Amino acid sequence: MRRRTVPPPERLTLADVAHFVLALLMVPLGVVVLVRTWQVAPNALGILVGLAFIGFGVYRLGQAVIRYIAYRQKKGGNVQ
Amino acid sequence: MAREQRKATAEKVELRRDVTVWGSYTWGYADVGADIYVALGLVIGAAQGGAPLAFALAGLVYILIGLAFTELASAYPVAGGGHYYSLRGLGDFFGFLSGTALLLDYTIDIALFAVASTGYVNFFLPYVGINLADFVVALGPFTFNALWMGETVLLIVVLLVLNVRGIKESSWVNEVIGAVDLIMEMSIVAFGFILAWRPELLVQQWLHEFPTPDKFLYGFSLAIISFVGLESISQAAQETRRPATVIPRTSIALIFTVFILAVGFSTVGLGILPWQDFAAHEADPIAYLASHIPYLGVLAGPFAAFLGATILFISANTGVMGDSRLVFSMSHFRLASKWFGHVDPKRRTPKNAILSFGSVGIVLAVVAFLTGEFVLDTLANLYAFGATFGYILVYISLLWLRFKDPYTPRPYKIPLNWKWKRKDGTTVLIPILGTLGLLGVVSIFVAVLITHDIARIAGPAWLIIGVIYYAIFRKRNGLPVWGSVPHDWEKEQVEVLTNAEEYELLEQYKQALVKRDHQQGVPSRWEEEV
Repeated sequence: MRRRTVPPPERLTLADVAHFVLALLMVPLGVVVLVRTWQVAPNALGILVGLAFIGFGVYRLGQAVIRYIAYRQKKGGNVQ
Repeated sequence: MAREQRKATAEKVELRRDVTVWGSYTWGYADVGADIYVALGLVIGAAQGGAPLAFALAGLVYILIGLAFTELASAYPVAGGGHYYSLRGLGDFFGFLSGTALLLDYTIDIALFAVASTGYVNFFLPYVGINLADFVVALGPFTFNALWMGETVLLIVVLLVLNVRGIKESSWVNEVIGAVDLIMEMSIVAFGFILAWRPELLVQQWLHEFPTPDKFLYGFSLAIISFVGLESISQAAQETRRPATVIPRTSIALIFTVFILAVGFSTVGLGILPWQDFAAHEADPIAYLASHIPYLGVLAGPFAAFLGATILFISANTGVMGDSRLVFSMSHFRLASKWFGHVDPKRRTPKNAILSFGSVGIVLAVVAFLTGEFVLDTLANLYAFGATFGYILVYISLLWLRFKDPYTPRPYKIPLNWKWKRKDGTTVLIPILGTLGLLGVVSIFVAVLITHDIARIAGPAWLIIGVIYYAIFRKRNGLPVWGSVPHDWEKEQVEVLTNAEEYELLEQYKQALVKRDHQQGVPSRWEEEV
C-alpha cells in the first residue's frame, strides 16, 4: 500500500489550535466518565466510552505533538 | 457558446481552488453532521435501551463504507459519487441504477430534512404561546398536523425558488455553520457527561429496557441514516485543491468525528433521560436533550434548536443541489434525457431538474405527513433503503475496479489487503476490510427490507419505475439497454487528474498504461507523453 507522507504544516492555524484543545479536553472527559461509571454503576458500556475518549484524545494529542515537532524543525531549517 | 463554455470552465477552476482542507471537512460535516438531529429520536425510539449498541454497530459499517468512499473519491476526484463509480466499474445500466438510488436519497433528503428543520423551528412555538397539537386535523382516514405540513411545503418551495434563481452553496457559509455546529454538538456531549449523566440510568435502561430482536433490528437499520451524506466527500472532490492529498485526511477525520458523536449522543442521552422521552420528542431530540443539561439548558436548548433548524435547512438544500447535479451528470453520460440537464440560459441553473425532483420531494413530504405520527419514520425508512442500496453498488464497484482498473493510482487504499497473483502475472489487491464492509451493508439492507414496511415496497417501486424509464429512453435513442456505450475512460482519467493538478499521479497513471501496453505488445498512445 502506497501512503503519502503528510507534509509538515506551513504555519499554525486556528484549526490546529482547535484540534489540540479538543484533544486535550477529551482526556479529562474520558476520566470523568470512567470515575462516575466506576463510582455509581460500574458497567462495560460506560467504561468503554470513557476509555474511548481517553484513547482518542491521547492519539490526537500524539498526532498534534508530532506535527508541532515537524513544524518547529521545518521552521528551524528555514531560518538556517 | 464558446464564450459561455470558457466562462464555465474558469468558474469551475476557481471553485476547485476554493475548497481547502478545513473547507472540505466542514462541507462534509454540514451534511453528515446534520443527520444526528433527525436520527437520535428515531433510533432511540426504536432501539430503546440498546440504542448505543445500534449506533455503534451501524457506525462500524459506516466506517468501512467511509473508507471505501475515501479510496474512490481520492482516486476518481469527480462529482457524481456512487453513480460515477458504478458507471465506471459496472457499466451504464448499473451506473443508472446507482444514480436512481441516489436520486431517491437526495429527493428524500429534501423532504426529510425540510420536515426535520421545521420540527426544530416548532421547538419555539410554546415560547410564543402556540400549541402544535392544536393543528392536528382529520381528513377522511388521515390524521395529520396541518401547521407542520404547511411549514414544510413552504420551506421546500422557498428552496426551489432560491435554487432556480441561482444560489451557489458557499463554502464559507458551510465552514462557519459546520464549525459552530461541531462545537455545539461536542459541548452538549461533554457538558452532558460532566453535569447530568447518570450511569445508573443508562445501565437500568440497558438491562431492563433492551428491545425485542425485531425492534433492535429496526433501530439498527435506522441508525445508518445518522451517517448518510458521505456522497458529499466525493461531491466536494471535484472542487478540492489537490484532492488526492486532502480527501483522505479530511474524510477520515470526518468519519471518526461523526461516529464518536453518534455513539456519544446516544450514550449521554440515555444516561440523562429515559428512552420514552426521546420517542416523544422525535422532531427535536437534540434541543430537548440540550435543554435538560443543568445550568446551561435554558440557553443550550433554544440555541441547539436554532442550529438544528439551520443545519437541516442547509442539508435539505444539499438534496436539491445533489438531485440537479446528479441528474445533470446522468444526462451527460446518456443515462437520462437531456431535458433534465437543460440549463436555463438566463439564470444558468438546471431549472427542469430542480423543479421536477423538488416537486417529487413535496409530494413525498405530504404523503409522509398523511401517515400521521410516523412522518419522520416513513421518510427515514426510504432514506435507509436508498442509501444502503447505493452503498452496495459502490462496494461492488470498489472491488470490481481493483480488477478492471488497477492502473489508476490510489493515493489511499482501504487497509488490510490480500495480494492475489493472477495467471497473467498481474497482482490484484483484494480488500479484506472492504469485503467485510460489503457484508455489513448487505446485512443492513436486508434488515431494512425485513423491518421497514414502507421501504420494502416504495424503494423497489422507485427503482423499477426508474428502470422502465431507462429502457424506454435508451431504446428511443438507439442505445443499448443492458450494455454500455463506448467511453474513453483513460482519456477522461487523464483529464480528471490534470484538472485536479495531481501531476505526480498523472505521471504514474500514464507510466502504468504504457507498461500495460508494452506487456500486451501493442503501441501505447501515452508513450510520447511519459
